[in-house]
Amino acid sequence: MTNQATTNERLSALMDGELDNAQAQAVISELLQSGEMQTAWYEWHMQQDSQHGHPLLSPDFMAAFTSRLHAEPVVVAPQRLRRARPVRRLLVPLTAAASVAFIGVALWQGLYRPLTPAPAPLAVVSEPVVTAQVDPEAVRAYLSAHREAANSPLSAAEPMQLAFQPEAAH
Amino acid sequence: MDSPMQNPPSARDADALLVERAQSGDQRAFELLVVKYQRRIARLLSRLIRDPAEIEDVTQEAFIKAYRALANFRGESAFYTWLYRIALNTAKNHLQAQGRRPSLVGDVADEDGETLDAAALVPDYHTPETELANRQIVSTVNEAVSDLPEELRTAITLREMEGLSYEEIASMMDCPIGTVRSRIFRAREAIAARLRPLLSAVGRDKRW
Amino acid sequence: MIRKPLVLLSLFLMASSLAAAELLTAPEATRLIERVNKAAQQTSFDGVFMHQHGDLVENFRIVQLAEQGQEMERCESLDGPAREYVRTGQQYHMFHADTSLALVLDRAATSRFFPRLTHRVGDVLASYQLRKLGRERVAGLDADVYQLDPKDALRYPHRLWIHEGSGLLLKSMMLGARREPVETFSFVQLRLGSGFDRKLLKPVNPVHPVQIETSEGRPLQAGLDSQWQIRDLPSGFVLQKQVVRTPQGEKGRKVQQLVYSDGLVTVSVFLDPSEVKLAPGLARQGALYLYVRQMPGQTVTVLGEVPGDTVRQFAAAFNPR
Repeated sequence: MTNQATTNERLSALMDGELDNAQAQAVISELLQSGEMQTAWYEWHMQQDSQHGHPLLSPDFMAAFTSRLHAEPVVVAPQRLRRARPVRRLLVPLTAAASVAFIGVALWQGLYRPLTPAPAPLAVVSEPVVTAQVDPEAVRAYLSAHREAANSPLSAAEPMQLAFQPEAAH
Repeated sequence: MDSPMQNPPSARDADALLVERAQSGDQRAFELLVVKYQRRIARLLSRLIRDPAEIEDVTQEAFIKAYRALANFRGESAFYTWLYRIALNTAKNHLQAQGRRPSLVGDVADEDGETLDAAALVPDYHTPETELANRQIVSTVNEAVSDLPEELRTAITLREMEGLSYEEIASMMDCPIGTVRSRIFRAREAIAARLRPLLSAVGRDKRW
Repeated sequence: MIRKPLVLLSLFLMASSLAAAELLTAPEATRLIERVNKAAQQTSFDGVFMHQHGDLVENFRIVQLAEQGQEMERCESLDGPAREYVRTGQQYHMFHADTSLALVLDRAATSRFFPRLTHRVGDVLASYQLRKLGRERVAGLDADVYQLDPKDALRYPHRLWIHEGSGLLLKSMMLGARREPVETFSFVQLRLGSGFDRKLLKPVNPVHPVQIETSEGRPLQAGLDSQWQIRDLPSGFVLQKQVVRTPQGEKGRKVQQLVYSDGLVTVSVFLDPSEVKLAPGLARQGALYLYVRQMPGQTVTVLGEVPGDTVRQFAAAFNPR
């Protein structure tokens, strides 16, 4: 049996109230993350209601409801904040996420490094007729002022490397 | 006889957990509760509101009201009981705002809905296409159930129509509980597979 | 045994997500952006986000508790010099290891710190339109991916990853002319919801209260209107603030900095009553363009992460009377 099938079998047991608390918590977490399981949830409840003779609604009932719900402020109940519950069950283990992120950042740095002082501009510059060089130190003050005005104060105010390249006017 | 309004005592678990997630800021958890209860609430409101066209609107309104009040739900009663009261109040306010008095069609019940007559049919209030698609869904489910292999059909019927627990079904079918669990799941998968082409054909809630 | 239906279903879901690359109507777009803004204010979370800007990559720890209508937030740099702020409602306390200056924060800018998106929905939708691209996972969570496409060639597109459940912005990226990432904010880990210990809000550095200013809607100061004729600014950009700067060692020289924003991106215009040593014309570094316009005794310098034509238009809009 595939993993998804065993997971869906647990979802089916959850609907019938046949899981203990820990198992139910785990299945709910998976359900909230998985579009496939949510589709099963939708279909199985429709089947159940249909067998019980409940009225079926318009095809777009949920879509209409969801867009109304999204316009609502997100509810967070105070008792959920006060109760010192272990929060780790809510999400990805910290260690796993951190190591993945680290690799991601390293790869990313390898892929995009257009701003290291390149001898020639990376972009194709049409008619590079401008010969004047841009003095990095003269730009630095402007750039710092700009970044300070535009950014979060926690962001570093300037890039590590300044390598402005003149561009010809089109 | 089915008892659609009756929740098996343990069914509260999934509700309570979804409520907890919704109260922690996950709107998707609340959507899953609406997926589960939308038709039961519409059914309840169809007993109060005569104009069929308004039933879905008031159903939506009732769920939005419930969402706004969700922070105050403390799990002292079952979620469905709480939702049921909100839906009743929403319907009453709706009728008052229209200058009408709530007129009950048949018996409206205690909050667990026990006395609601499951056989009472709700008037047709959809477009003919939707109505046709809905009838197709009902007959497809019925056909799919009767086409199931004997052991799957018995398991799903005892579960859905008689409301029996896995343990009770296991002793009736003389098999381990794990087998019951697997049979019910396989039955649901088989029925859903028959349902799926219909749902995508009418674009039914693509999001889901 | 049920492999086949699952494969079919996932094919169906894939097809429907591709077909969904569609424009949102203006009310849908407004609702979505307002939802992101609300979620950023009303959600409690504890996470680490990555900020990439040009060749700089830094990570920040961020904690927000939204409790009974009050927001409390703490954000701390994990890389580079120690920097930290703690916010209660609109009140900021800050620490910045590199800067001894008393910092003044701009209210408009503070309302855009990640994961807040923008403080002016109307401005943004005047210049951009929203398109849904599909779904992706960010920090282990399912996100809907949208793109803010500029309605003209004066700015770059932005891509947004929005958490389905809460509406929280999980990742945002400004793309350059070659669709390269110019600036990215992205949660790399995030716990949403409840049960956070209030001790997480305790600062780890000696923070000090910071003054919050707003210069939105104020007229130009220091008689700029009488010295400069300003017309034909690139569309969609609104003056956000005016700062007077004095270059180091030159007490007499006052450079006016005008900061314009279209709601997402900012452009700085520097009006300098002297001729500077910068080469005139257009220069670029990555997606950042610089335009220097020399006039007798005056220099207009424009800097921003917008296409070259935009900085040129800004520079042309300022003429001495």
